[in-house]
Amino acid sequence: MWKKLTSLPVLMVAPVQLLIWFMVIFPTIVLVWLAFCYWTPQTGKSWWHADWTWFHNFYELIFDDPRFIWSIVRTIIIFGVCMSVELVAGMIMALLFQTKFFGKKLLVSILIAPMMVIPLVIGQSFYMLFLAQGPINQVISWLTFSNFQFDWLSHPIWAMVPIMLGEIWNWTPLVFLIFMSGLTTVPENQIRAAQGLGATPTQIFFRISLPILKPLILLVVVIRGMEIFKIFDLVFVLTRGGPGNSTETITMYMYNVGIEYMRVSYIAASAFIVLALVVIGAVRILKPLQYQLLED
Amino acid sequence: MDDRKNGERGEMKRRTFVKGALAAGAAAMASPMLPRWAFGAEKDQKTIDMEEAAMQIEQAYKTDPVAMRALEAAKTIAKGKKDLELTIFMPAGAVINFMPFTKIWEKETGSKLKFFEVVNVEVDQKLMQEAVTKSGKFDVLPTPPLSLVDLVDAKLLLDIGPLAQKFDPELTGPNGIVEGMDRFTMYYKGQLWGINSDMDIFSMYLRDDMLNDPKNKEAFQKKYGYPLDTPKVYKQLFDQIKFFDDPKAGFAGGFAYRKRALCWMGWLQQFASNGLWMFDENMKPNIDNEVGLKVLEEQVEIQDYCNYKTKSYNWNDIYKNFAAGKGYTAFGWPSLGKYANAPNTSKVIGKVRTAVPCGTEVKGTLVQCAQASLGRCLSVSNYSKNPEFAYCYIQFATAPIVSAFAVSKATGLFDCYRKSHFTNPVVEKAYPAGMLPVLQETMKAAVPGFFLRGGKEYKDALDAQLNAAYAGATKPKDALKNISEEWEKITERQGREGQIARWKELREYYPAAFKKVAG
Repeated sequence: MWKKLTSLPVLMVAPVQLLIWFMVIFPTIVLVWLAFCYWTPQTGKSWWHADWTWFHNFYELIFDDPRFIWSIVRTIIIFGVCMSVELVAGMIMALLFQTKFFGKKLLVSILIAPMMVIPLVIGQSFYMLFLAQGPINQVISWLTFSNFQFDWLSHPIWAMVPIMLGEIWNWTPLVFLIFMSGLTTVPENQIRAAQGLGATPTQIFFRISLPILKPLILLVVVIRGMEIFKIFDLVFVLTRGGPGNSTETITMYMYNVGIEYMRVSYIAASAFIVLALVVIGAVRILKPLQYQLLED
Repeated sequence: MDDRKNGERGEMKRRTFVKGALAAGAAAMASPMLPRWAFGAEKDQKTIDMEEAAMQIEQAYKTDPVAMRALEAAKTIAKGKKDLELTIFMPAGAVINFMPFTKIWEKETGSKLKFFEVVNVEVDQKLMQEAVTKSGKFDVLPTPPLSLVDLVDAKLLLDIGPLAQKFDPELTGPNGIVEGMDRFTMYYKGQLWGINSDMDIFSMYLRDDMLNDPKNKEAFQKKYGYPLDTPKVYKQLFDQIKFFDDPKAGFAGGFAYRKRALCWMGWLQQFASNGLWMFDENMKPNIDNEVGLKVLEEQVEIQDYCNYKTKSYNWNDIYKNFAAGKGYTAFGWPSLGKYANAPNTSKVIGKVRTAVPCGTEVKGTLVQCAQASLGRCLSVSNYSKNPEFAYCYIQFATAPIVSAFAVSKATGLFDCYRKSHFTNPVVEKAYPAGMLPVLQETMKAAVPGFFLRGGKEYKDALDAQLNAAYAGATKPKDALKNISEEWEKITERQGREGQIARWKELREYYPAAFKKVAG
């Protein structure tokens, strides 16, 4: 055992491993400590002298802070809507790009360009698009032959639309790329056999391609879902969580309470609650994959 | 070209070519560093400002005894010390306010000044991070009044009272800091935690040309039965906003702050003008009542005549639109007055009237209140390695004559805070004609904001609910109830006793007219 630990390969990766452990484990330990304490910088005490409060922060978050609960609900709604649209749009685009045509490569490059844009820039652009006197309302005015001046960003419900559209515009290309690669892995012989038996393209897609792509779809849902849960830039630039708190997502809530109000230990506890929710969600979604791997 | 240096056919030799290419490359790399006028282009306003100020301040600072005391003390401390350096933490854009005298300080003391800039919205977080890490990276800090109590309690700031006693920065007297506002922006628990370097007060800006137009005067008198003039009370202001609102012509009656994080100022200012404390003596919220509701309902009603009915305008959108001549009135900080008078940003130069914010008549007394929640003071970090030297810099930078050059920067962030600024010719040049006396009057109506522990929480709780009410997401009555409940929670969490003591301190600084009717 000792020989293994002091072998050259282990010694060579040891410094980096230790650094990573320090960067991950130490902050996690501090976070756990803070989650069970009451501490803000305004107490004037060092964080290691914080007062231990057991589960008080967790209790307050779950039972006495409707703002926290609603921020999670809103984030789940954004996840649901954005994920659905991204999956469907990404799949449709991927299917359209299965055949060869002139300019395909150029078109792919153009379509994936939104992925390269910084979310902050997207937020600023969508802010200008969705102003009451902005281009979106102008186009709607032309189409409806009316003077449409809807204040998207100040409506408690419709303010979500620019946020979700920005998120969808930014990341649908990634889903498209993943599905485009995934569709190339569908066995040709199965498709030809189905065609030979008189199956329509729709039947081929739903009965052959989609089941084969299921693990990939679940993976995309989990990876994109985790990213959507972290949505911040768009909300910050577009609405700052307003009007009121009606577009406040969980990260916006944590920013406001943890960074603006400096309720550090309170937010540490909320981080663990969110982590638990995301892990439970991810495990549930990936469960079918576990069975598949076991079968294989 | 000497052909002997080149080949037979006059071709450039390799060495000559390489030398030339290197020279051209060096010039190309250096060119972005040269000012535009080096290329024959006109000097930009920033360069002109800096050069003009540099020429004047070279003579002027020596006539400032406050500055000279600080400088002499700094020179004594710096004597014999090599590589003495101060790190000044500033919000981005404020460094230009310090440029006129940076070279003077460095030359006189033989030390170096390093400026560390951060975007304005991140300053508070950075300060709190420093309070936690205690790195000692910064010597001078830009303390916002809203965070003063939190930063003191977090033990980030040094009590500079003893140093102020030793070197006398003249905080009182004819050159002193504007009275009233000085107490709630620099002092806490009776101790001095910084010296003001910027005072922001919410002023009222109106289109002077429209007020003076005889046709407008006649039409207004006919419609409302009283003369058109600078509004003294909110009812008059709202009447004027409705009168001038012309959506078909793309002209807004006014510009109101309705975006999240900006809603609280207007409401709080109008509420205060009714002579009501926002908390009672025991820090119980006092806003969920008839007056609070009336103010909120009026604010909800008037927004239909403001911002072309948009509620998502940021403060810079309001500035731009007002300066473009697209609206009759706006509340704003002194920077709006400067912005609306600047040739490269304004179409209404010379057409803007600055006025003390209108108020409310209460028991026969006109109570005018102006929100004074922003601004900054320069503080010494508790973890500075050279605290006395850092204090000397602060005293130098905020000295009466030296600071006049700082606040006169048209493109800077800082505004007048010493009584002498309002009559200083250097400062007068930077502001529109007639604005400074009005600013001085406005400061007498200054109302402190949430300068309590957890001040930002109180402010945000108010802002979120007002924003919801303005957007129609909550009824005004429910919004006020929610705010009160949230404020109570915050007070309990922050410690009621401490909050009561601080609130008692802040009540002393309310305007005289307010205290007369509030009791």
